[in-house]
Amino acid sequence: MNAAFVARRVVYGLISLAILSAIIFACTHLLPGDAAVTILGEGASSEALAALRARLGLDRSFLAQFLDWLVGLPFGAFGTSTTLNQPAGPIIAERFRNSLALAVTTLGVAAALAIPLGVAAAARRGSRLDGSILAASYVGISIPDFVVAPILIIVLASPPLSLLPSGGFVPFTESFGGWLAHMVLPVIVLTFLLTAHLLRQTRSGMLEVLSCDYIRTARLKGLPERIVLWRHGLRNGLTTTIAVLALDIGYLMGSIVIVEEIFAYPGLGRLMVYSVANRDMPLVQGSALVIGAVYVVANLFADLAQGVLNPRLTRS
Amino acid sequence: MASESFRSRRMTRRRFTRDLAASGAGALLLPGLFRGNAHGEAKPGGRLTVALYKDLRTLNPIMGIFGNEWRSTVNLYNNLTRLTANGGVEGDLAESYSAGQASAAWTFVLRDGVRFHDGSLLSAADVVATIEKILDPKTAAPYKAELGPIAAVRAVDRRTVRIDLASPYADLPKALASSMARIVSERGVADFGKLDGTVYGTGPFTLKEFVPNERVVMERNPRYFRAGRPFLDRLVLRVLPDTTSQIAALENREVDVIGEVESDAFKRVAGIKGVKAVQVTGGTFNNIVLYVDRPPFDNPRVRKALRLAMDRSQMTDAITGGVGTPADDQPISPAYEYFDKAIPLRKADLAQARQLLKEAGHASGFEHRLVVSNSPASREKTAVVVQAMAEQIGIRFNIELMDNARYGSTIWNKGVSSYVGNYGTRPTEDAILSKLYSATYGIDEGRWAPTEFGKKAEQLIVQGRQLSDRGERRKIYGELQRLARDEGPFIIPNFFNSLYATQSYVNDWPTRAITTEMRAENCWLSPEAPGRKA
Repeated sequence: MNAAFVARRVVYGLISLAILSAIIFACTHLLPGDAAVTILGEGASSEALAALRARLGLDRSFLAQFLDWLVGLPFGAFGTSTTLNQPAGPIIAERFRNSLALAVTTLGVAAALAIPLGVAAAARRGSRLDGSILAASYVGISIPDFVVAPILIIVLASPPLSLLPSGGFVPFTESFGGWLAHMVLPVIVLTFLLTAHLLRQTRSGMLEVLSCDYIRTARLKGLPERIVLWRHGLRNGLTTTIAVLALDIGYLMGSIVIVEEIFAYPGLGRLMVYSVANRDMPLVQGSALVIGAVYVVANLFADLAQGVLNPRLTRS
Repeated sequence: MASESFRSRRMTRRRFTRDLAASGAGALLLPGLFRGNAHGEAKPGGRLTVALYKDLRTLNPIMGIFGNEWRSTVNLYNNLTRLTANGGVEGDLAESYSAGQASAAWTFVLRDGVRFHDGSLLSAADVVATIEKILDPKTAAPYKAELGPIAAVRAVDRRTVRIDLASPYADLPKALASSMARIVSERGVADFGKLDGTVYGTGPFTLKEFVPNERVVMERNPRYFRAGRPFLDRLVLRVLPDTTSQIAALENREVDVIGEVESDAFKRVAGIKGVKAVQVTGGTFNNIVLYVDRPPFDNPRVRKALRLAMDRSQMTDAITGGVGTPADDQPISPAYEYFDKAIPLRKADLAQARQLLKEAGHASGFEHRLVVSNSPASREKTAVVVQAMAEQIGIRFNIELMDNARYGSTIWNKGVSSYVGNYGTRPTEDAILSKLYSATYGIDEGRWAPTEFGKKAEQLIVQGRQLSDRGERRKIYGELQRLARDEGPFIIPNFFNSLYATQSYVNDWPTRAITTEMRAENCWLSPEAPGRKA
């Protein structure tokens, strides 16, 4: 892989982030309603609203607020949360860590399940095994998370089984067992969705590759099927799967609002919903930017990984 | 089995609710739920976890607007006064208090030797600092107006505070018991910016950990001024926004109490073995705001027609799932002391309603926009049920669902459209009546101030807040309830009951009409409680 390829990708990533930050800031200012209204609630007098707007700096011009925000960004300062009255950076950082733990665990489990199953299904295309794997993945794709999650709570986290806590979160540093126990149900629900998705991706990628001439050559050369599949086939078959994985990590970092809400998991998605509903702009902007950055970085890694798997992609 | 008996007694229970409510008794317990609750001597110790839904943003008592914030601060701070279980008032940090002539000046004498969590002694200066901070317009305290017409507050000596009023106000002691008026130390007032996450109080529990919108962990305050209280070693409030996981957590005994049960979930919760489900007649309501300064609701006939189209018992069942109290377009519920039980519940009369509409020139009915905020969810239900009732006489409400922040800044009290408002139970009749019907102390939501109704209501409110004689006040507030019922600018179909669920081993949990009065200092755990073993 050459350095120019890497550099080009990094520069693209930075440009995307810069554009993203401007769009986020502009969009949040288009939202009707402001933090003063949500902080003081219904029944607030107009004098109280004006006093609070002045204190929060909401009465300043759009440009002044944007510049203020932009200047803080390189130092990791996302401003002060208007409704929680705390620096937004540490709040977002904590949620980011929680979401990352959930995303990485889920992706690990999903990949470990989906890739072998996808390869197996592709290798025995049309067989009974292929049929049942496909059917199972259809089920996985079509049942929404807001159905799976309550069912799991009722089955696994309610009497008589009561195997797991129904929701909530224990920090890793407080108790590893507690942390793990609270992770299990959300991870199962998310794995349920992602595995189906990844599996189908792997299967179709592999099928395409397995119909290539070089695979036929490999087979004709008398290579064992194991080597043909896992060494020659998978390497090329995984390129799309990796791109999908990169998108999935972005999805897991902030779009899994329903799962986080049901399990009371303190991730970026719940923070996002809270901050939009309460017009807490520094939190909205900060978490949107962080989620955007995750997409950019994940795609960067996906590009690089694809480059390693398939060096032809790095030559342009 | 518990759910079985619950269902079969449903009708009986509802009648029971109404009878009890009508007789003025507030609290009522579901039948058959005392079983297994071995009431005995209170034993100190143990840990108790309360599940809450909705947001919990700040521990700053002066700036809080959410129930969960008040449920936290009531355990971390004290007020000068506090509400008693039956809606009366007594001294809290104040040992005694008295009114000067015509309730225009009040003197509060503080308990001696009360210490803040940081060890400093409570003095009159702390009380003055707190009240002045609330009154300062720069603070923008959301509930400032409900504190009453305070003109000045000063420390007479170390233990005596004098509050001068701009006009007589008999409810001052009750107003000072409200959630915003927790007494913060002088140092805490100076560190106002830190109050969101730091506690400068005297309350029964000290703050151990606070994660906004996640949890509040509190520990027993060994210096608490009420000897032997609190009983619990640890009190944890956990935000669990999803009903299914809340109920599962209760079934698993991960949580010991649900601090505020959603009405949809109440029957399911009541069916869980080993759980006490309690409902108390509350005063929370949703109101449909009709503007009386413009067509079509400027015409009293049209308003009356709409009122007559509403079958209130049916609506109450539909909106609250059978755990509410029918209301009659006025905001005083049976939970209030001066609720007038002599006023009969209005019956629906569709024929008369149609006739009135015809006389008003709307023989074929009309369309009307009704905006609904998405939070709390009960607003939408109220709108849909009102829509169905109104449709019977040809009034077609077009419901428009809206994000809460947008609703708050573009619709609420902006005079642009009818909408569904939402009010919680207040400590006094005056607090809610003056908010809704006084142009001076309230917000003139229905644009009625210049009307005959507005003038009459204003006069009664001013009269009511100055009276200290209870019989006379009862008369005034009764008159106000009739006036609001027949001529007011709102449709109020029902009150929401205050709903609680606790494990049977939880004793003396505060079940009040005002759900935010969640003061856990008297609560204790029976020996079989899991929180005693850990």
